[in-house]
Amino acid sequence: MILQCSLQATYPDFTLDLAFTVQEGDLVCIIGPSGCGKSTTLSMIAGLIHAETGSIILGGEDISQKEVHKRKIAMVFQDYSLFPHMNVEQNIAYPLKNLKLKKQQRVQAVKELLELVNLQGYEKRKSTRLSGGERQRVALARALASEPKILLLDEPLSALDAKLRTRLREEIRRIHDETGITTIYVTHDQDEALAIADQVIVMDQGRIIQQGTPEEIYRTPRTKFVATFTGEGTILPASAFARTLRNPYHLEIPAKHRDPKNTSLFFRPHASHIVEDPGEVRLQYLPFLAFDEVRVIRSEFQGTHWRNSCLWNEHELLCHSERKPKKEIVSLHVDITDLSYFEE
Amino acid sequence: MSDYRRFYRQKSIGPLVILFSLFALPLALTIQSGVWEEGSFTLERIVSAILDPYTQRILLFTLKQAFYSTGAALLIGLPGAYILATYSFRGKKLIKALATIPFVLPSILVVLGFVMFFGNSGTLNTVLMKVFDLDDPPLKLLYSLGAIILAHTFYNFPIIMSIVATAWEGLDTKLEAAAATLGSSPRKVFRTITLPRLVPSIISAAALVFLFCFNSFAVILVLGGGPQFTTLEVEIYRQARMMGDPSSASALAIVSMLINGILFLGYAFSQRTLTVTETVAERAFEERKPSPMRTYFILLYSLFTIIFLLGPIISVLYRSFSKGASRASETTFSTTWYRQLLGFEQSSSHMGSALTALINSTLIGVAVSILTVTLALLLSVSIARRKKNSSFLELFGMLPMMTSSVIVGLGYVLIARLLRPSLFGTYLLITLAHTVIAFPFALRTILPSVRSLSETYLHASYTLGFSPQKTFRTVEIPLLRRTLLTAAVFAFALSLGEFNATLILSSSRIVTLPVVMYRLIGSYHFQGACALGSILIITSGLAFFLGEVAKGDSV
Repeated sequence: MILQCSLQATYPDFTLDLAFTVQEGDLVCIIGPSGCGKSTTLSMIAGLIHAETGSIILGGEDISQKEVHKRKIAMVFQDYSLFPHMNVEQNIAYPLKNLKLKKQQRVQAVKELLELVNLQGYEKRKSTRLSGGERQRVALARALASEPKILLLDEPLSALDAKLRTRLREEIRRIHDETGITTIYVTHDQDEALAIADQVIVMDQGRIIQQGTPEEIYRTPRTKFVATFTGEGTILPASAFARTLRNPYHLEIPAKHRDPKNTSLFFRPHASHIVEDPGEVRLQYLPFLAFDEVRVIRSEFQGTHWRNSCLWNEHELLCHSERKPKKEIVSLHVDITDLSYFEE
Repeated sequence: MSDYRRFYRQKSIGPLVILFSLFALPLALTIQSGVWEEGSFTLERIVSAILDPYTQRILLFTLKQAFYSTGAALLIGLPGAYILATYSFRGKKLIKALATIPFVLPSILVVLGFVMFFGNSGTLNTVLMKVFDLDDPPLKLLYSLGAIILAHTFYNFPIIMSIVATAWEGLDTKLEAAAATLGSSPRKVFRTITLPRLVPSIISAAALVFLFCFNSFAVILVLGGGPQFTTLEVEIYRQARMMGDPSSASALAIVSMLINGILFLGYAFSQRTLTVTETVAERAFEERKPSPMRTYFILLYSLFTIIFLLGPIISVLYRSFSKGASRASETTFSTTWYRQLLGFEQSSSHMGSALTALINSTLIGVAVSILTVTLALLLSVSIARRKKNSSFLELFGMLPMMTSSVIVGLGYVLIARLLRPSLFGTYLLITLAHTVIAFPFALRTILPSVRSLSETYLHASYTLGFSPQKTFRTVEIPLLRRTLLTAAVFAFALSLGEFNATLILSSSRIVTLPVVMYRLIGSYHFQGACALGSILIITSGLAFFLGEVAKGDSV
């Protein structure tokens, strides 16, 4: 189902005003710092909080005035909210009672859902005796049992440890792909969002800052906030472009690099290459930026690479390298296709 | 405002209307009866009640006995608080558990236990006579001011002990250590560091005990045994029932309510302003062994507590199975009182109504328990799920606690005068009066559980397609079932043991367990009273046990 949202609400310390569309079958992640309004947005779609104005159009029908239990929206909560007085089977069968199935069908449905979330044979377990990861799966199965038109996940992995998080986010993506259900997933963890989303919505202070595929968001952030929230990088005054540009083959420079509205330029740490020997010639046809006389201040080993903090004309530059730089003074080269710009 | 908040807001309307008519209406009638004469407003009755030397004497006596009782309870309770808070020893848990007995024991049972234990032919005298080979009972305590104060002390010192000990255990011992390193002697540390921080809890415990003693009814009625030792509450009962003058009773009730209000405000104030909570990660009990002197003291105190708290109860249980002359040496084991109670054997007039009383009390208790829990549940969810006015509603629900049960009973006497109910109607009024009395306790049991119930359970159910009504039934109530059961048993036990309001409402045709017990005590048929009392003990014990289980249980 396609979901089109337009929501406005004013709170004493906070204004929410946003509009976005979720395509059928997509898994959309909403990310942003805590207090940005992402969970509020989810609660509004679910109907637990009412927007002052706006519309929530799900599959062509405006559900914003419907009561929660009539919206056909399922939600997985941060603490899972499994009913402690019911076992796993009863929890999952709970929404099935509304579907008027025969007992046989209900048992079968629970079995299939448990298979979907890889918890075969867990029917009679007490819901209070499950591990965090198991609770999360049961909560997911229960949400899917209600045959919702859309699935909402509110920071579903935040209560789990890092290793389990990585495994379970793969699971969530797999279950999404198997069921094909339109899903909105709220998280404050940008890695999680970039890893599993079809679309990412970045929010700050009640507004949407940028919406796009994970790659677009990561490679070409449209604001400084998106750039720094989704990962590390180097921000320089836009004037640095003209000072450091090298264009050995005199190719045409795209217009965006000359847009006077942009005041800052930005690149990711792995877009820059360390050149230790001034005489070394990189096989490079495309135009690039060359920062010379760069001082390497600190190098940290990260496992897959070295993370180097450098200083160039009193600007800090971040740069990843495969090996630890041997020299203290080096050059840094960045392809201009890896640059993005902000107006601030 | 979300739909489900509206649902819970609507839930409060019913119970509020019912509570208002059950509590505020009788109260309003009492006040009206106190200040209304021949169609016009007058303060004359209240003024003359206050100025009447007879009332003044009663008021003075009420304050005097409450003052002495509180003082005595402090004297005995504070050393216990010190022991419990400072030392870790065997039997400490038992003493802490025993200290909760006064909270669950019906007052008529306290009276009976007191007579059975301290009375002329009571356990204590019997033991002393045997040990010292005496012919006459050495302790003649009953029917005097001393008896009243003694009964109040033994009923209330555990309250002082547990409240102060809890506060004491919450104090950070590092402060004492700091003072010691700064060169203070242990005595000085106690006087300058420990005691000042304990004062709030001592004041609030003493205020609570004073309030209880001020409103004491059954103890005074039985152990006072005459106009010489009459308190305000007993006088209200006497005016309303024996003199048939509810207007004077109402005027006295207004005076009593005013004093109660002042006392209660003082108590609430001391709790709110004086109490400072210190955060202590872990209380370090004194590692070193107490000195031989102190060990001896702890042992003596523990023994004393166990004997005087359990003694009366065990005496009642023991007496209910004995038959024969009043001297213990000549008694034999017998179930005759239980057989009489259950109607298998012929018996005297009061004992003859025992079975009816048991049945009546049980039926009333069940009705009270259902009514109270339903009302308290509906009000609790409404309070917990609303954002505005929640503390106002909570206060409203707790109001009946601020009026004594005798005054609640008086309100219903006035209603009965208006309605002139049949016998069944009178029982109905008794049930309603019990509901009013039990309600605050049920609310206090249920409300914290509802508050601690995470709202996301409800949200989860709504998003899974269940309406608020269905969610309330299939998720919320099942999650609260243990608390509801506890509250129900508690309300049942309260109703079963309720004496004050019932007595003031009852004519000779009304029989409930405590009323028949009172009549049996009045006619010196103690063994029969003990058989009935044992049933009360078992129910109270069950209520206590369930309360303890529920405490260790979190949703």
